[in-house]
Amino acid sequence: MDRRQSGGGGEAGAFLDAALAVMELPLEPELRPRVVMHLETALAMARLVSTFPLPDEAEPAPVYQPGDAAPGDVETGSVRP
Amino acid sequence: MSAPAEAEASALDPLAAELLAGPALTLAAAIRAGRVSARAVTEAALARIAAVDPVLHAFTDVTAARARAEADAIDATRAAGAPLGPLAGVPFAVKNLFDIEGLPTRAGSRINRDRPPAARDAALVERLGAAGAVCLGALNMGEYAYDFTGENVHDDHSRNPHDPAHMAGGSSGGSGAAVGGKLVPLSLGSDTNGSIRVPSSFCGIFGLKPTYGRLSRARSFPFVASLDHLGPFARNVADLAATYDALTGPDPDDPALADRPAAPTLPGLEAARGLRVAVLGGWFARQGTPQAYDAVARAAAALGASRTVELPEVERARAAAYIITMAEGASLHLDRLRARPGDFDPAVRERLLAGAVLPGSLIDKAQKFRRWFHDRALELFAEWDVLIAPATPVPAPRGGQTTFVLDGREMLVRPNIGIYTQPISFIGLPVVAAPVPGGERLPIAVQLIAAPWREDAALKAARVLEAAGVAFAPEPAV
Repeated sequence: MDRRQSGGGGEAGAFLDAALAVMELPLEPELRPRVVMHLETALAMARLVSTFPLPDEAEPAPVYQPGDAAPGDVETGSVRP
Repeated sequence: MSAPAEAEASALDPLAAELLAGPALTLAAAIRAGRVSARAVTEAALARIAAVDPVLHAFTDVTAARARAEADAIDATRAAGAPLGPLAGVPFAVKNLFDIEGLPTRAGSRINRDRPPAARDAALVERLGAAGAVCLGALNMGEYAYDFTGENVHDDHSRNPHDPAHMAGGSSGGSGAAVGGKLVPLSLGSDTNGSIRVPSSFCGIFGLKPTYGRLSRARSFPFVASLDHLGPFARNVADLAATYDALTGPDPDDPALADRPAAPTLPGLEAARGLRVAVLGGWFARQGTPQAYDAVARAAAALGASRTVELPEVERARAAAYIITMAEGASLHLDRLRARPGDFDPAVRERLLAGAVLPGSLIDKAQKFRRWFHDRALELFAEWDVLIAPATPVPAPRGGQTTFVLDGREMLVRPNIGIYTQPISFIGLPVVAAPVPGGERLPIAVQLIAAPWREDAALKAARVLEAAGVAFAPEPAV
C-alpha cells in the first residue's frame, strides 16, 4: 500500500498520491499506473468541459428545491419560494 | 399441496412454454381467459431458466418459491372471479440492484452481499407485482453498474443470447440476456450512461430509458444520483409500453421523482401520424461501424426522416457525463474504498479512485455545462419529435475483448461502448433502444430519442419501425 515507492505519472501522478493520502484512500503500487491513466483521462475530459465559455450567471443543472414542512409547523411552513 | 398435485403442477404445459416465448400481453390475455394457468407459465419459465441460464449467466438469484406463490395467487384470484392486472401471470426479473424482499441487494458486487436481506421490494418491483406480473428473481450486472460489458468478476459474465462467446452488454447484462434469450418476457434494468440501451443493442431487444425523474428509484441501489434512471426491457413495443405504463406514478420515497402526470402510452401507440423525425449527425455519424450506420439508415427510411441535424458540443457533453459519473460514483463508495479495497473488481475500483480525487470545481463546471446542453437540445425539439442515433458503435464484442478499432483508431472497449448513449442520458432525454437486425449474426439497435417527458413519441416511433418489419427482436441462438 506504500504509494511513495511507486512514483511516476508526472503531475497527475503526484497529485493523485497527495490527494489519496489526504483522502485516506489506500492504493497498491501495482494498481497505481491504471489509476493515473484514468485520472489523466478524466482531467483531459474536464479540460474540455471547463474551457467551454459559460456566463458567470450559469446555473448548474440540479436546482435545489426546499420542500414543505409538516402541517402545523408555523416556524418553517413558508420556506417554499 | 399434495405430492400428486405438486407433480401435476410441475409437469410442463406445452401451451405455457409456447406462450412464454411470445408477447407478454398475449400471455397475460391467455391467463385472464383461463387458457393457461399462471402456475404453468411460471413452471415453464423456471424450466427454461434451468436449461439455458447455465450458458447465459443471466440470473444470480431465482426466486422460485416466491414465483410459484405469486402465480398461485393469480390463479386463485381468477378462480374467485376477481379482475386480473394487465400483466397477469407474466414472469419478469430485475437487475440485482433492485431490492427484492429477502435477498441482499448485491448490485453486482461482492461487498454488498454482506448486507442484510432487503425488507421490502423496490418500488418498481411492487408496481409490476400490482399489475399481476410474477417475480422470477435477480439478474446479473456489472459491478456497481460502472460497466458497459455485462461482465462480472464475482458472478461470471452475462453472455450474449445470439452467441455466448460475445458480451451481453452492460451494465444491465443479465436483464438483456434474460429477455434476449427468452428466459422471461420482461425485465428491469438501470441506465446511468447507457446501461439499458447497450444491452438492448447487443442482445437485440427493446429497452426504454425514460426521462430522468420519471420512474421511482426508491429501494434500488444507486450509482450516480445525477444520472441514474430505471427502465424496462421487452421483446416488442406493446409489451415495453405496457410495462412502462405499469411503472409510472408518484412516489414520495424518491426525491428526484418529478411531479408530472404520465399518461398511458399503450392506447396511442399506433397513432404516429405527423411524427417529425430527423437523424442526428456530427458526433453520432462518426466512430461507428457500417452495421451501426446501416441500422440508422433503415430506421430513418422507415420513419421518413430525410434531414440530418446536429446537437452542438456533444463531445463536451460526453466528457461532462464521464467526470460527473466518476466523481459521484466515488462519493457513493468512499467508505468501501477505504474499508474493503480488495473486494472491488479492480477495473471498477481504479476508476472510482480517480474519481475520488477530481476537484469539485471541475464537477460543478460539468453540471453548469449540463444545463447549457439541455437548453440546446430543447431548441432542437421545438422542430423535431424524435431524433435517431446509433445505440452502440459496434455489435457485441467478444467476451474479454479490451480494444476495438473505431474510425481507424484502436480504442479501449470498456469506456467507448457508450459513446452514443452517454451524451443523451446526460440530459435525461427519454430513449427507446430499438433492435434493427440486418443479416449479421449479432444484432444492433438504434436510439429513438424524444423530448423530455415524451416517452410516448419514442415508443410510437419504435412501433412504426416494428410495423414496417425494420425493428424486431431476433430469435436467440440458445
